[in-house]
Amino acid sequence: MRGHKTVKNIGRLLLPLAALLMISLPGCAKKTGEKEILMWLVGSEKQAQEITELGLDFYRETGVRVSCEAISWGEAHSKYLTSVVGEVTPDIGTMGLTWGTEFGSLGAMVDLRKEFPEDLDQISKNIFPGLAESIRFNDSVFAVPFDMSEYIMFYRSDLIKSPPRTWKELTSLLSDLNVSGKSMIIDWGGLGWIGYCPYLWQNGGDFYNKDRTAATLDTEEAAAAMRFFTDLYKKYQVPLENKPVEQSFRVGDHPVFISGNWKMKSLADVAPELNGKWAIAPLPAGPTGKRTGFIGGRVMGIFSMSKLKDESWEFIKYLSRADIQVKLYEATLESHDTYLPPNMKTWDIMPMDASFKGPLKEQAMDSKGPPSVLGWDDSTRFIDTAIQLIVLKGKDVKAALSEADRELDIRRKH
Amino acid sequence: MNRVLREINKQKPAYIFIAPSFLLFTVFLIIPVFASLYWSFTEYNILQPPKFVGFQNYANILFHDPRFWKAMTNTVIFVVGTVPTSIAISLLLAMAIDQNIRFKNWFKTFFFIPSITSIIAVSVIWKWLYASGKYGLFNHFLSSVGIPPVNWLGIDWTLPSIIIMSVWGGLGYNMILFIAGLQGIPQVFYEAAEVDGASDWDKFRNVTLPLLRPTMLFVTIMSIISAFQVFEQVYIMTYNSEGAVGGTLDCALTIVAYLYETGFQRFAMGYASALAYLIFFVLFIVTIVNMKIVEKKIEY
Repeated sequence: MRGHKTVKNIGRLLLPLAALLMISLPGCAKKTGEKEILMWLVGSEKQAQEITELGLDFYRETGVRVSCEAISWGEAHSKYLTSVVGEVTPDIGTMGLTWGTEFGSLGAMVDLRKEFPEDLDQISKNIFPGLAESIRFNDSVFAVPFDMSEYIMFYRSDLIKSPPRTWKELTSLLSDLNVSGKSMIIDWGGLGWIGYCPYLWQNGGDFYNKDRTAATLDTEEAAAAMRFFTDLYKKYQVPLENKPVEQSFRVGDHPVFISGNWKMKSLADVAPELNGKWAIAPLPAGPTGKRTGFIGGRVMGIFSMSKLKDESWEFIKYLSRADIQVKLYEATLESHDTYLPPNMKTWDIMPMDASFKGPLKEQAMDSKGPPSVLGWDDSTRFIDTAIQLIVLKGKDVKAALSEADRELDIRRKH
Repeated sequence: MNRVLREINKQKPAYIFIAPSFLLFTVFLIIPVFASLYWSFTEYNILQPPKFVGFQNYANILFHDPRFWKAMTNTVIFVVGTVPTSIAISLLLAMAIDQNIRFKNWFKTFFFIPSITSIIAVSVIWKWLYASGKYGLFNHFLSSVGIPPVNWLGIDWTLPSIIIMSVWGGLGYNMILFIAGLQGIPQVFYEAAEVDGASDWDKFRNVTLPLLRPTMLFVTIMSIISAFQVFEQVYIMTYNSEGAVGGTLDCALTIVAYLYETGFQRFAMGYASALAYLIFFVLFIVTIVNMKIVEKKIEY
């Protein structure tokens, strides 16, 4: 009998613990009868808070509450994946550009094109064409852009009279700079596929053919682009190692660099004395006359397990509205986040210095995102390896590219 | 049943105190350890149920995976680069501090600080120190004495750079252990040796080292195990904008970094579990060999 008591005692000890667990279970504290959308945002706490605040206006309009939680980039992918497996997904997920397709093809996300075709057309026709292409997977769209980041060229306007507009102008500028030991930095992507893709596209090449049925890195366009890209490093002294961009830009050792738009903010923060002495411009055009850059960003979609699909879609539509995106843009100006609106209409009304807005919009109009191919994320490291073997180890361009091409084909899924 | 319960009842408080950590230990360590042993014989991507494939993961790793061997080589270089250096320097420091010097505790604190600092924070700071060209502090010092700048985080130097930083970071911990070990050696042995006319080197060689053997064994085994599992430094120093770890052409890819990539970026859980068991197996062998070498009886 005394044994029984022990069990009881242990039970008594565990009871408060169990009670604690129950309280902390998500959702238990929610008021009954009120709908609440849970949204996960890959990014900062601050931005999640801004969205929750925007959600208050949404609540006033619709009676649906929104709560937005931040998850960090490092763990985001596995967190989404485990939430799908454990069937505890949020209603809305904001994630990396290629993940929508990945999770969607597993059946974990709502096909927006099937469920909300007219609304989706309304949104799609207003987002930048490169982004629109990147989110379309066969006949499905599983997520729409939340924001975007784009490649852009930075230059010291006090040291360089006019930014290079073609590959030729770029190499002649670099030759001039090389005379005094100066050069350019390729910051975002560097010796990887992101660094290489603008030249590939500007030269008329691509990673896959139009129907995405075969990789096309073994083409002459890809090889020529790679040779030009390699020359930037080998002939024109673009540094192979990571340099602190803001610092070397400030002292003038690298008065030109190519990076993402977020560097505009960090330059203003780190080197305020340079304000007015630098400008941005679209990338130099390749032989095809295109100035294509890389465009990335976050997308948002609805998980299939959500019980509030229609309400979630209303909120996604709300966040895609131009006037709301302006609010989001203004809010991020104060925090350390960068946010560029993916809706082209937003750009007509958002407050931004014209000398920045012009080039950014022009570049965004001529930009492409990662190819919407299943297996792409598993393939990129083979392109990176090819680039590094070519540039660092002097491997034959054609041989390295056709090896990567083969790997892309092996990993390509439909 | 009754008897068992009665036995438990006798030690009631003890069992109650053990219960929480036993529970946590079982749920978060024992069960996962056996689960991943099973997964190592399967193909498992979290989403679909595991598919049994026998020894295929192990065969693929050992015979068809050049990146595994690259990672293994890098890891062995890291272990060989850090462990002996760290032990030698920390023993030297311990002996210096063990003398009757002034500011003894101040020195101990000074050298121990890196050990209580998060290795992530240390790595971030050292990444700045290692900055290339004329921008990093190390290169600044080098150039002020006329040595051309080193590309610390380039393809040839990344691994050595991480080794240097890790040696620095691990000094204090080993040093404290050695100080404790040194203080455990009775003074009479030294006095006897002095009476016999032993020199300082003789005393070190024939008194200090043999009597320090238990500490040495412990420090060596723990250092090897933790060096073999190096990850944070590699992660911070080499991750790029796409989330890849290991540096240019895998120049600093270590075995745990490879495990991380396989398991938590590519979600090849079966393959990653097999990798984990191979790491465990290697460490197991190394530890046994280590104990055999140092296992001569303690000479008190």
